[in-house]
Amino acid sequence: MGAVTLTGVRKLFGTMEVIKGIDLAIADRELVVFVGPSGCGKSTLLRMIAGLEDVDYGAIEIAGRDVTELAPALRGVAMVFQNYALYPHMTAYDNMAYGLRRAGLAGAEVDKRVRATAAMLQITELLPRRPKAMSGGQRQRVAIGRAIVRNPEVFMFDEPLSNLDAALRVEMRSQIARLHRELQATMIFVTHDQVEAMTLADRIVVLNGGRIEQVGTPREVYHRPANIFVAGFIGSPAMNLLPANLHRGAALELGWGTRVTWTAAVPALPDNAPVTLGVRPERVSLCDAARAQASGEVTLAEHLGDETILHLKVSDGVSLTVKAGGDVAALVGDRLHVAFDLAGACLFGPDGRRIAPD
Amino acid sequence: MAAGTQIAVSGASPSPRRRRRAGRGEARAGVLFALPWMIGLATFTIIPLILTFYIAQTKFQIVGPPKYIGLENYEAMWTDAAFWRSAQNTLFFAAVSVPLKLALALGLALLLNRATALSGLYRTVFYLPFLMPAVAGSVVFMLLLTPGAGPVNIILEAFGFNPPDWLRDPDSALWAIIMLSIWPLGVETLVFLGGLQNIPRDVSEAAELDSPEPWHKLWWITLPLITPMILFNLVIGIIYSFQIFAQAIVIGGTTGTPAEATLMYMVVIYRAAFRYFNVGYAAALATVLFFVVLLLALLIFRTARSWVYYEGESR
Ligand SMILES: Nc1ncnc2c1ncn2[C@@H]1O[C@H](COP(=O)(O)OP(=O)(O)OP(=O)(O)O)[C@@H](O)[C@H]1O
Ligand SMILES: [Mg+2]
Repeated sequence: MGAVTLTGVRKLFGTMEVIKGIDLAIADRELVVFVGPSGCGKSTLLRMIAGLEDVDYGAIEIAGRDVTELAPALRGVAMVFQNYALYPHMTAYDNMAYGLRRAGLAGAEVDKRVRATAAMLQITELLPRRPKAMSGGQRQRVAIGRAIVRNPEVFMFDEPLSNLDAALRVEMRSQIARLHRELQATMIFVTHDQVEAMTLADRIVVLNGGRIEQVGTPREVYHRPANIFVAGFIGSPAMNLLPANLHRGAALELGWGTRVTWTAAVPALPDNAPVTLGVRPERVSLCDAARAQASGEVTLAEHLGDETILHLKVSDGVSLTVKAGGDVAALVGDRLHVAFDLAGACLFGPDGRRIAPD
Repeated sequence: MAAGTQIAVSGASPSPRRRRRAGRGEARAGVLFALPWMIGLATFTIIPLILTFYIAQTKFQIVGPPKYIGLENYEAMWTDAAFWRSAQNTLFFAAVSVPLKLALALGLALLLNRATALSGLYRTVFYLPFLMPAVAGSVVFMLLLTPGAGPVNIILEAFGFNPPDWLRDPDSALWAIIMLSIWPLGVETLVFLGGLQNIPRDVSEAAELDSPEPWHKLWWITLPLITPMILFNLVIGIIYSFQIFAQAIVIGGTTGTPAEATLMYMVVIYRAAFRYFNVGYAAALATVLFFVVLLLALLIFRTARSWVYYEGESR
């Protein structure tokens, strides 16, 4: 039972409030990913749950116990650090055995558990080695082993894969997903890698400036972002956020004068209300001049092989990102016409919150 | 230098032979850079050392040429009560003061390692005593410990104790010197502090997650990671403690008052050379000290392989 509940959690460094009141309930066996821009407080929040950082206001419960004032080792949590944090003077075996030995387990039991964990992670041949004699990926696997062997209720990962190369990242990502299934444990994972967040998470927590912007499944935060911040943060390339005015519920006048019909229901707003239209780059398609809803000059063309990302300058201060097929041969300076598919589009009200779809 | 650059530029896997040649070129440059120091070492350390070994086998009384007498000086030591007494005092002094000083310095460093607003100030304050000449420090200590007028005894008496005359009582005089020599522990503390601050924060946090007991972390993680600093402080501490002189001669004079309780080995050497003008005998005493300290240092380095962790090694 490893549910984690945060109520009104706040943290100050000096006079600077870094965590500004977080309420969050993480279910048992859930894998929750914290994402957010650099400096938004992801690590701090994680470290507060682990007990490495004091909680100034609010309370933290793990498995039904109030752990706000409890020492880190008594919380039933284990942490995997970005820089592995292995004990440099110990072999992999001793690194993994250390916590068990200090907890007073018998040598035979320690040995059994260390070897079983090592076998599961396929690091048995690393056991006699010191961290210095291992590659980054091997160290991170040992660090994960050190976390697993203690059989904690909650695992925490602070950007554990960001020091690994791309191929290894993909491999370790799937290993962590497999571990989550096999261990049936609660996991909290911090990353700023979109793909990691989308593929691993049961639920994503989007943080910004010490506050939660949205909590939801990867599909929810992608397709129904709670506000403009989440819309712009989740997804790569980022969602197009276009200034518009909403006329009597049905017509949407885009910033450069084009009118489009908006069919989905919207709450009552004053006529001509300033709104923001959010359209994913893959929902913007190239078309001929006759059907064009926007036109612009290509300022950047990224040919990625299977797709082409085009950046268009539509009018002063408004640019558009278009995800087109890999066969599009547009070059910088070309003038292109595009049309919007509003089926998956979002509308954000004057306060920045999503008003459609509801 | 030039050879090294050449390899970097040539790019395609350099043959081992070329690499060796580059190594030799660098070694030559290295020797050149070290030469001034090596000349200094030879003139001011090695030559005097060999001279000492020679003078130790002579009868040399400053005036007149030294006369070769073989091992007679060493034989004389065997029956010299002052030699035995001072060796015993010095050994006791080293055995007590070195571990005590290291433990205190480590404790201080652990306290200073906690980030507080004043830790910078504390660091300076604890380092300051080291800058005070040992003689001046000793005089201050004597004033503090003076019976009747010194604040230590006045305070103790105010609390109803009956304190001894610290520096005149054979049971306490040596302890006074031990305290006096421990007092400036700023350097040892700074060395330990450097080691502590070198421990990555996340390693220390991982230890906190692994066990709630602070002493577990201290014993299994912190201490092993600063063993290089412990080794350094231990060896330097032993070398210096065998050479305790200024404090001993200020408090005990050349006779080690009271009752030879503070008679230190260096004082006996000094007295032989500059009181009795028996330079040959003093040289023999110094030679014995040199080999004893050398042997101890070698012994410690020998054992160090099994208890000192060096970052570079990956075993
Ligand atoms: N010990 C500290 N003292 C003062 N300020 C701190 C401390 N630790 C973190 N901060 C500040 O708190 C804020 C949140 O930091 P945190 O490390 O949690 O960000 P993060 O979301 O993990 O960022 P990143 O993605 O770059 O790792 C930052 O503005 C940072 O400068
Ligand atoms: Mg961080």
